[in-house]
Amino acid sequence: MTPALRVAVIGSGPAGTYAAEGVLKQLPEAQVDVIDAGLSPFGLVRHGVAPDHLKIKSVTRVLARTLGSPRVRWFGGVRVGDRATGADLEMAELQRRYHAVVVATGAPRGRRLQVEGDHLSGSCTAADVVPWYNGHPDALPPLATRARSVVVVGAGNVALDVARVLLKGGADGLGETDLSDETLAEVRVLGAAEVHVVARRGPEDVKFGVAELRDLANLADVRLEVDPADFATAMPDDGTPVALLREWAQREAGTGERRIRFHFRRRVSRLHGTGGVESVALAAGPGAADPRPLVLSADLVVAAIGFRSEALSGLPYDEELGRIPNVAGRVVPGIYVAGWVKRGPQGVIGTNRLDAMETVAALVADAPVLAARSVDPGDIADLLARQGSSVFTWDDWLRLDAAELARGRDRGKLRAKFAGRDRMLAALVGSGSSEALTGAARPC
Amino acid sequence: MTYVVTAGCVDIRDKACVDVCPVDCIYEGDRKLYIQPDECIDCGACSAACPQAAIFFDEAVPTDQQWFVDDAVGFFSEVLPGRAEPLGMPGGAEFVGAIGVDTPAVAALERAT
Repeated sequence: MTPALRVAVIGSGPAGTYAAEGVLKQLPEAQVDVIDAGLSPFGLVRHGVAPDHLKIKSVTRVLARTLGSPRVRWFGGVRVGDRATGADLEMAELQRRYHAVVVATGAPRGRRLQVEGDHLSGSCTAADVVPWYNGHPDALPPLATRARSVVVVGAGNVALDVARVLLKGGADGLGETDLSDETLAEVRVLGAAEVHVVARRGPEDVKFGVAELRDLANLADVRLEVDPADFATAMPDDGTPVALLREWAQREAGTGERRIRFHFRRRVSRLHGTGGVESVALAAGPGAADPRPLVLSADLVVAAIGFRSEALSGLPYDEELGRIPNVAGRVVPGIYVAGWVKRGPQGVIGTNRLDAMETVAALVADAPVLAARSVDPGDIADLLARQGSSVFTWDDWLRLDAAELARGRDRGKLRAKFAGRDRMLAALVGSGSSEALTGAARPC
Repeated sequence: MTYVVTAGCVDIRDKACVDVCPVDCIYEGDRKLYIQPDECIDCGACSAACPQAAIFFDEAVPTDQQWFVDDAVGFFSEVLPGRAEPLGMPGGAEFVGAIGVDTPAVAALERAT
């Protein structure tokens, strides 16, 4: 018989959910409580994966099997941190009640450009914009209500997602998504028609995926502008991102009124504007085809240059690496990490399965020691109820899920979300709530 | 769209892809692995994990290996040798275990000596 451990997992994105799945499978007597600050499960699958990538989002089918298991309880709307700043629970309280705690809180902060003008309204990060268009209850729309021209900085798929979603949305092309009517209207009014993608790297070093590049090529009436001078003479291998970019550079850009322009080997040197961003200055980096500086008009700048984890009160934190220090997922016996807070913001959804297995292996190795420790038998459900925290249960989620599916059916699509905390709550209980925003959303 | 396992997997079957597939949709034949195209969510984790670089996004499969795209569809929609009905969508390889047979086209591939 395996030890009957009580395990808490913080975060119900892919990393936390695969960790929970691993614990269920490897410790058949264990019970798992999954705690999430959000009103919905699935983390970045819901709030990070682009809204037009519905096939990727369908991974929720598998994640829900774990979260809906009779051996799992899901506590939504519950924040773990420092009670002095409004958290519902503290790490120390979890450690008293559980044999093991797995932290899978991700990397929710966007890295900023840190150049002059970065404070202007209209200067956002992907961590502001992506949760907004994905209907995160605490996210805010950009302060710039109109943004015909957008500069997206970054050489990864997040940059391409932002470029594509804003361009599609500006032309009413996000019909086949799970977005709410309210968000669709906000993206349409923003009206992006021209997106500049700025990368420090050259085209041979970008982290763009072939699938994401092809998504751009499939946009109707959008010109893809790539400078042939950015390419080395050697022919790249077929099927690589650089081969695709080179192909675009060598053909006619097309006649669409809207466009995406790639700027390689350039960095943002400053943002100009009075009040809001009006233009973006680009400096040439090493190896740039054109060494002259360049100024682009833009109403909105989105830095998609990386994410950072947040420190969790009561645990060590490596400021330099932006994650919780650990060895193969073990912080100390009894405390573990999985996903981006463990290894940094990289990899695709599937990466988290292997990553969580490593963490669970560490936990299982410690299980005999952990089981010998007596824990407070008190139930966090009672504690949360006593202190008046509003908790969303798995049944609540299933009702919201059903309401979103029904709203989608009415609109001829798979799902339509509800935008904003109040509308989500109204869909759930039939009335809105005036509860203050608990997220750290920052208007930009 | 889907990811597709191609020639590089045949008689190698490293299976690094299986551990990273978030939906457990990579099924084991006798000589290679097969991705269930309707269960695949296009995340690409398998492609990055394959030490043989044998897994491609379907639109990016090299021309001489295009036939693996339809072959993978057939692995699930046709009745495989020794089976009574098509595999269909089992919902996860863990539920069915190793299948142990291949499509006729893969079974007929010449073995490296």
